[in-house]
Amino acid sequence: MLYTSQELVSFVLKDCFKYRNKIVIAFIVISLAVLAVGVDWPKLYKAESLIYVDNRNVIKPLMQGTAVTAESRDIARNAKQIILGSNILNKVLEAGSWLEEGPTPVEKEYMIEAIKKRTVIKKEGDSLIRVEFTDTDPRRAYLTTKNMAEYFVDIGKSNKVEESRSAYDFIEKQATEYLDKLTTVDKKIKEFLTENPDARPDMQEKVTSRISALQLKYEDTSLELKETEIKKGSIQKQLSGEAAMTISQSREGNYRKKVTDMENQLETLLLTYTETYPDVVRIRRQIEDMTASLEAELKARDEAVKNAKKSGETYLDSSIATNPIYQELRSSLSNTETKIATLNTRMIEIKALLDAEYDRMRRIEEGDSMMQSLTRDYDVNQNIYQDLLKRRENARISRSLDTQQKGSTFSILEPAKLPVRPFGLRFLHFAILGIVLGIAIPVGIVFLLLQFDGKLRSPRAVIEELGVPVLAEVPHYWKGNEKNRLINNYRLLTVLISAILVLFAVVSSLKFMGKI
Amino acid sequence: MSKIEDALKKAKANRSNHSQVASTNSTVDANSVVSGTSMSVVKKTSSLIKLMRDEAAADEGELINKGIILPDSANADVTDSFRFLRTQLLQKSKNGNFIVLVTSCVEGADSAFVSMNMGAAFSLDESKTSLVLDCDFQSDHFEDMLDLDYDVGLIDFLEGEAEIGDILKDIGIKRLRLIPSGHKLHIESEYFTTDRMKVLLDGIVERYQDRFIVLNSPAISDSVDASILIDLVDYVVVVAPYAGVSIKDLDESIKKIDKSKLLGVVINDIPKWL
Repeated sequence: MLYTSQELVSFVLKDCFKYRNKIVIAFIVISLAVLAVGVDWPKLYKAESLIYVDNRNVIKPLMQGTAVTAESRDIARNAKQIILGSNILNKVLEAGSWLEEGPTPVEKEYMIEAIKKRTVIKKEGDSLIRVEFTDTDPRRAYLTTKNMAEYFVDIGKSNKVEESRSAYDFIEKQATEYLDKLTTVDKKIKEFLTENPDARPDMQEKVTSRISALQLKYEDTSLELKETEIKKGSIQKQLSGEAAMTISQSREGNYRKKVTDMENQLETLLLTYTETYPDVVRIRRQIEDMTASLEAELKARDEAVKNAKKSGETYLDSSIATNPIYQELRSSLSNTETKIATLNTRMIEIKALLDAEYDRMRRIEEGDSMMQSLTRDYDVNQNIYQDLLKRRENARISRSLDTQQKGSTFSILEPAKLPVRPFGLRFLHFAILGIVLGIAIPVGIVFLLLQFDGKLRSPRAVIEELGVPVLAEVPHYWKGNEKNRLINNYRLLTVLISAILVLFAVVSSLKFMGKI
Repeated sequence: MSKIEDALKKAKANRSNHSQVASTNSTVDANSVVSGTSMSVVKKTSSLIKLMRDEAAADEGELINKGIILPDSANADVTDSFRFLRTQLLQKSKNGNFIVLVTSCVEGADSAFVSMNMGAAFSLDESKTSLVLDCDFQSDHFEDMLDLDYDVGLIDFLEGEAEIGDILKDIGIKRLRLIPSGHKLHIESEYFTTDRMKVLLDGIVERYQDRFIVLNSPAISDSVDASILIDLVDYVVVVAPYAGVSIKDLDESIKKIDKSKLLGVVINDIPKWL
């Protein structure tokens, strides 16, 4: 059954009445106990200091973009280990007012442990560290915090100087290495060029133009050769055996014409004269001679042709050979043949030259890839080297910055102050807490019991859960002098509570005056 | 309170007492027709009413000590709550008289206080009288409350050892009569199943129309008497102590009661600061 808040208040009040004596006793016990704790509670003073720490390391910004560096020591992250390390704590013990009583080494150990426990080191944001130290003695709290912060900053600064020095050294070394590499590659290139003169960068172009020139010449020559050969063919045709035949046939024709003429003359004479006429006889003889000559001629020519065919030579009639045109043709043919021979020789030579150039071209190409790789090495190394030179200058500046402690990488933003007021729970808090707890705990217990004992309190529960009407709610009946006894009880409880409050007031004022 | 006021009150109380007794007598005369078995009972009753007249009203302080409500007193809130209860019962009964059984759901619910004061509440009304029967033979709550020391009581009547005139007592409250339980030395079970109990109750109800009978019974959780008594009465009222019984236990007690007779629950002894 869930009670309404109104019901709850009413029920709690009724139960409080029921347990009033126990509640008052619990109040007295609890509040006195808390008061006692408060009286005995030590006053604590807290001193704090804020330190600015540049979280970045030196090598990283210097080498940005060039190389990925491993995370260098993060001093801020390790601030706790550094400050609470024995290195700083021993110094803190010496400088603070810790060793005034001359403690033994074991006691010193305990002191160090105590300091560790009471120190709080917090990182605030990216680059701030807060150091807090709590002590019962405000002066000691102040001194300890101050010393911790100062020693930490000292260590941080010297670390920073060391770091930037080593960063410079590192870059310097790298630069030297790259210079060496650069020199080596340079030397290699020179050697290679000496060994391969063709490998100069402009050679390829030259060779290419030459090859094209040679090719042009070769094509021209081959064209000329073809032309000359055609010319030779035509001259040879002119000088061929068929021409000689024509000439020879013309002589034969002469004979045949003469025979025909003489036969015509004979016929004419025969018309007037007889066979015995001298002229007729002479002409007849002449015809016979002429025929014989013709036959001899034919025979001789057949033989000559046969011979010529046999030897493959053009049959030349003696008459032809002596012909001036023929002579001229013959010399022209000879000239042409000479020219053909010359052209052929030239072709061969050009071809050889071309081959040589191709060969050279191949060599150039081979040398080129080698050259390219060498040049590439050279370029890359040179770039890195130049970059490193720039960075070396940066590193030099940052080194001198750190050496002169001009860079604000470590500084105390808020120095420790002597704490004036104690922090944490003060006596007043305990006094209030005592009274509040003294009331809250017993009433709270009553409240919890009420929630969980499941007893009938609310008439609503009877009506709603059992479905039975509630006829009446009868209050308690004060019999006889019960009421007077109750009033007396109230008086007693009031006196007790008043006494406790007075005690609180007295103890508080005593505490305030510093008497306890 | 001053002495004068005391005296005035006493005088007033005496006056009303006398007039009440007179009216009761006239009622007895008017209803003289009775059946055979209840005849003797009625005779005893009428003889007892004479006794009633003789008793002086009890002292106010005495009543306060016993925990009995008064018309106006320091415990006016308790009186008001019983008046309210009385009104509710009268509404249920349509203003006729009835027998109501007051039982507690657990031991310690103080049904004696409720039954006694319920009777007292009826008798506050000058036109009504009431009779309270202590049927709780198992505990001395009733006797302790009223500081009674009677040798003769209901048990003796049921055993036939006493007549009704012997057991009807006046404890100084006007218009209220009481029948104590009597000595509880030799208790045998199931007295209430005998005819005598039924005759007693029926006789009273029939004869006196304005008499309301309240029975104080033992806790229903640990007695069969309560269950038997329920059969004899018209209504049942269950007393539950504030913060003294769990809802579950109350539910179990209520389940034992005939639903038609159960009027409801009275939450008793609610604490108050003053």
